[in-house]
Amino acid sequence: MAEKVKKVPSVNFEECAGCSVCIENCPKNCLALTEPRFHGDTHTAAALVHKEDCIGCGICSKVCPIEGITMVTAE
Amino acid sequence: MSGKYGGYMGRVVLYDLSTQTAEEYPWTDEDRELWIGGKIMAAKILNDNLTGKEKAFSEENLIVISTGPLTGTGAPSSSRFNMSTLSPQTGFIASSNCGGRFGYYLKKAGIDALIIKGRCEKPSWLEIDNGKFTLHEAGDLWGMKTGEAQEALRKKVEEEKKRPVKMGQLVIGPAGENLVKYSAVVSDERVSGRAGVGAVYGWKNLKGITAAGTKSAPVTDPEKTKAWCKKWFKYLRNHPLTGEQLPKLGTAALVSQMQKIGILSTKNYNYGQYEDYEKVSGEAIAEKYNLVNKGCLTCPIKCARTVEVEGKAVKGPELETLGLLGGGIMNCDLPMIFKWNYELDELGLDTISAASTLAWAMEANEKGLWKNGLEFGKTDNVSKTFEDIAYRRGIGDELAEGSRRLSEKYGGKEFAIHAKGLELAAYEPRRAVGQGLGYAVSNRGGCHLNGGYLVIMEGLGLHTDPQTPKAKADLTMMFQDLMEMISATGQCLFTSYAFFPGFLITKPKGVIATICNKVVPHAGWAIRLINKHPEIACIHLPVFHHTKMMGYALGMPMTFGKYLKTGERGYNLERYVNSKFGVSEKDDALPKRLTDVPQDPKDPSTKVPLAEMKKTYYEARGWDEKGIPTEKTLKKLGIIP
Repeated sequence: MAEKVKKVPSVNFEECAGCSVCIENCPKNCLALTEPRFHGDTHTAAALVHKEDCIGCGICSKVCPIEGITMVTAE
Repeated sequence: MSGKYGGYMGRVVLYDLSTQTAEEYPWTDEDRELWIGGKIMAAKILNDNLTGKEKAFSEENLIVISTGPLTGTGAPSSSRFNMSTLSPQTGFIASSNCGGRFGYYLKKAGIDALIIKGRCEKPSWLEIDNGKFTLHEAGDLWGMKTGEAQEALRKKVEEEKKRPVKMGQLVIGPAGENLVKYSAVVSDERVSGRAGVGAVYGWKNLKGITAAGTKSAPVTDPEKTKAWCKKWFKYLRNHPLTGEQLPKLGTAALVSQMQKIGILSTKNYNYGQYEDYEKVSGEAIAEKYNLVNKGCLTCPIKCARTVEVEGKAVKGPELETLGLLGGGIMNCDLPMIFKWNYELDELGLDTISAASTLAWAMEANEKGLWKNGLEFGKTDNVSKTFEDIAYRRGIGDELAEGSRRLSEKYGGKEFAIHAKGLELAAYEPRRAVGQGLGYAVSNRGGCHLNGGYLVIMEGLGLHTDPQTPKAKADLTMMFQDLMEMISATGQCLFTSYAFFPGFLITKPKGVIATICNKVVPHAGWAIRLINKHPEIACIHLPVFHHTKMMGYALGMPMTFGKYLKTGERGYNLERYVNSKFGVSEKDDALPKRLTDVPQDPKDPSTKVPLAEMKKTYYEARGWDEKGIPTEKTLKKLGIIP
């Protein structure tokens, strides 16, 4: 039987406003806000930082208020 | 959904600390439509339960912690919660609003609002877990500062569950325990600061509350809600105020703008400009100190700063704190303000009232009214003074009572900068007279936001004539009602910044902005017409996304006019509660420094013409000459049958 394909969240960095709803709702604490790219940068976004813990539940994608997260096949 | 409207969890709970029992508090769909949530809902509950004879420190006084229906629906900047109670500082209703995560988690626990009454026999903390209430002893937490106490609460919950728990929590610090009149409640790094709610917790022996759960707020039309949120988030991120100024500089951006137009409180409101303002400005923080922007959960604006204090990354100061602990006490040491800001949060003190009381004491000392060792520009004893206030030691015990009570004892009422006993924020109103009216008539006391924040029309957004009283009363009413409603839905008032189309901000001298600035003072009659008959505004405004969101997420039909009227109902309801506790025209006052002494001695117009504006305001509101809502007004709004 074929192994189930693992899906992980892919965050649209530009669209993401960093509201953290996905981070707060992730049951495995896999997501976090990125660090600013340079001093004075105002844009931070959610990112998958613990890919190994992700169970592919898709809650993050479901709760994102702007549909900024899509579930993609893990590399 | 428990009722016909989305957004609501369907439970309002009354918890009695004396008997440790929880009971359901009836709350119907009709209540939801009339009183929405947040501060309006809280005012309704207080109105139904308080007679006017209760004291702030009594078992009968209630603390109503209420969320808004948009919290948890995906709406931007919607994780706020409100706490209303009878204030020990003003003697009237205290509505204190807070960001962070607690409101979001209270709803995840299945609760729309929690009403607290009674008093714990011993220091305690309340755990809310998926709708279940447990009161625990907090002897070991009593005395802890707010950071340590929050950490300890988290540890207790996680140890019991034997796993990490996502939760919201709120606590008081030593100031609340010692009944300092302006003590705060702290949740994460956000603060419910105003009007002494922390002291009511302290009197009730309640150190803190935790909320956790796995529930989700229902949404009426998920597809339309998401599509609208997407649009709204984008709009906020592209707006010059919510997408540029606030993320880049935070509220601290206003220091430079206020300096420019002469409304930056300086030396206890003696002046409106501070020569060293650049050293304590938002630009200075952004250039040298800000580590990263932070925002409340659900917020795309992210207005909070992060700075370093003693090697630790902590929340940076807001405009009010910068203004009042900067020019307000003649201090230009920015890292020192970071340190005080952190210390005040840790002690659980409202930075506005603490700073303004300190400034009053410095001036009283300078004038020889009260020899206390505090001097403008002298900073070495300020940290200790704040500690002394929180623990009520030495002169701190007297300072803990706030500037109104001190001035009643020592003299100097004319420079005790408060309204109804609540110290004013850092906006000096003699060059923004509409803001002056707002401070005076605000239900909460001297609050810039509850006052209507007209300063945004008087130089911080638009540039209408800041000295004219024309149209200011009607505009104040409209802005107060709008903000009342935004707050009631659980959203941050910063979402209303985007009400002003971007080009008015980016091109302040453009043709349209110039016409707006010229026309507004002559448009009082039109604003009055909408205020009197909001039903004529049965439209959605393209710059005001709030109304459509109510329809999509809650299934609650809403137009701009209905939104405004609901806010008006809330504002009048709070006033009605205050009238039970004796509020009248005499309480809608400002210190003489602001009403009788021109800021510029050569320009007599640089003072607040309060009496004139107040009369018009009462007429616009439908209040009698004593400032009490008439029976007709109360009936029209459904406050009395």
